[in-house]
Amino acid sequence: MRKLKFLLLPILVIQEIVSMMNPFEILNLSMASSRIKNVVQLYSKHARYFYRIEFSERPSIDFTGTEDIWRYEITADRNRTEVEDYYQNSMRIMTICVFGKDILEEVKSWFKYIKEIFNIDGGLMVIINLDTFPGQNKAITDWVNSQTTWTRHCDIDGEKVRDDDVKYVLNTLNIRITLNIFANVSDNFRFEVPQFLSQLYIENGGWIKLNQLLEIDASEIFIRNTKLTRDELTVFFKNWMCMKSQIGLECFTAGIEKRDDVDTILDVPHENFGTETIRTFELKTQEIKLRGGSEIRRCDGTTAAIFVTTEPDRLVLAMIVVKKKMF
Amino acid sequence: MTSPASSSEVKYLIESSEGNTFDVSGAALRQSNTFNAMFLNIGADGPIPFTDYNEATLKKVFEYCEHSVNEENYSGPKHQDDLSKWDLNFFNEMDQKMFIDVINASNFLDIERLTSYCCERIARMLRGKNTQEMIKVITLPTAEELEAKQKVEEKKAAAAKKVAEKAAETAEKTETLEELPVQQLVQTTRNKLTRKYLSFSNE
Repeated sequence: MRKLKFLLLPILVIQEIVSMMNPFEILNLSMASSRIKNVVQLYSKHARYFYRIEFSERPSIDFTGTEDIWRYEITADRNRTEVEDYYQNSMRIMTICVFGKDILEEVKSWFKYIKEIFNIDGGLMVIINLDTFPGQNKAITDWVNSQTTWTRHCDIDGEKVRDDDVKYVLNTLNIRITLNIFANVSDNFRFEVPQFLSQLYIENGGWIKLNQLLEIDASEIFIRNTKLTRDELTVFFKNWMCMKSQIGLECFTAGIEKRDDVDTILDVPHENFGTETIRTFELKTQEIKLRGGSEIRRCDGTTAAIFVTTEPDRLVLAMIVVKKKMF
Repeated sequence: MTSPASSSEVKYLIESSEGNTFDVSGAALRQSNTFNAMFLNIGADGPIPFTDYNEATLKKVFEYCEHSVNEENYSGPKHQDDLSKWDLNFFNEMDQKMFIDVINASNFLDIERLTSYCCERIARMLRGKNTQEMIKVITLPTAEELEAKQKVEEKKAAAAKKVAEKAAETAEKTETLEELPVQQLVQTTRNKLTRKYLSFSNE
């Protein structure tokens, strides 16, 4: 069979072909020759992916944002299958294992190449488990910061308390949309949370004090294991009603100890709904139906539903700001 | 000689690189955006010269256009598995040289559906392959071939410039037409249609 003279195809045709390829194919094609690499580079810059780097037990570089996830997993385990294709939460994940002795260096060099081909300059999604490369967390953070002008999404994980490392990640990366802190931090942890986030999730929120909470400017705030008192939560709601804080808040949850706590916390003008009333609310990612609950009203007329919900091991006080009523 | 009852019955004469001419229906030709931009509104006084492409290639391209005249409007690339038996035969009976010539001609004529199917076919040739396997499918052109390609691109850019100039000229003419009395305008249009038919009926 005669070979196809790829570079002799018309420019628009090459562009169309590249647009039909998945990230693995684009990268494989780019490695065919330096000339092909230059051409592919030109046409892959408008690719529709988000790029996620994960520094954890299974370090990887993912292409997400479409129905499928394309993953390069960097591993030292030569027994792993080179190509894996499986479904997780109804999402297809296609994985190519890249083998290397120095995992971190391998991640860096692969990302460098991917960045070059796809012209990535910002908006990375970063997942860092601080326990995986304990001595190198600052170096990893500096490297990530050198690769992107801003970070779309950041997950910080880790069992061991590493306040300095968490603080370093938060201080160094320019996190703009989502910040999830799963890592354990001490109750003395102090940090100024980035402003204008879309979502802030704090797994171990014992360190969050009232004055810090009032300064957080995020659309969705989820704090677990909080040590905020009932009175402090009352102040939080009062401030919201007077528009003194959290003007753009859409959703807030915080752990409480007893279901009855809500009566004490709601020491503000509110309206209670009977269990026969079912209200529907639209959140960013889901629609929820609420039976009963209470409602508070802000001075500009905006209302918010307050209710208690349960998680497997705890009670949660939730607040949803009403955007659109659907009866 | 019958007068054209509808525009789809209008035949156009196409000239290939060998200097040969052949008929293509207006409906088929209108699938080419290049044709639409160049000739649809202004007509043509003689055979339409697509002299960068040989007769066999042009006939193959317009065979596809004639076949897809009655298909629904093109709405983005279709998966190769969704291609009809006719489409598959159409592609399978071409050797690679003809296939590349058809892509080039289809790209120049800007026939979206055909170009897209051809691209999908090439993407399929590379699908799921690693770099070494891809290198077995594609080859790298020599410096001379790249130079020749650049010349062709330059030639096409010059042609596109010409088309743009012609379109601007047509726009001027259209403006003039709009200023004419209605009766005269109708006559002018009819004359143009008749002239087009007479020029390309090849009877």
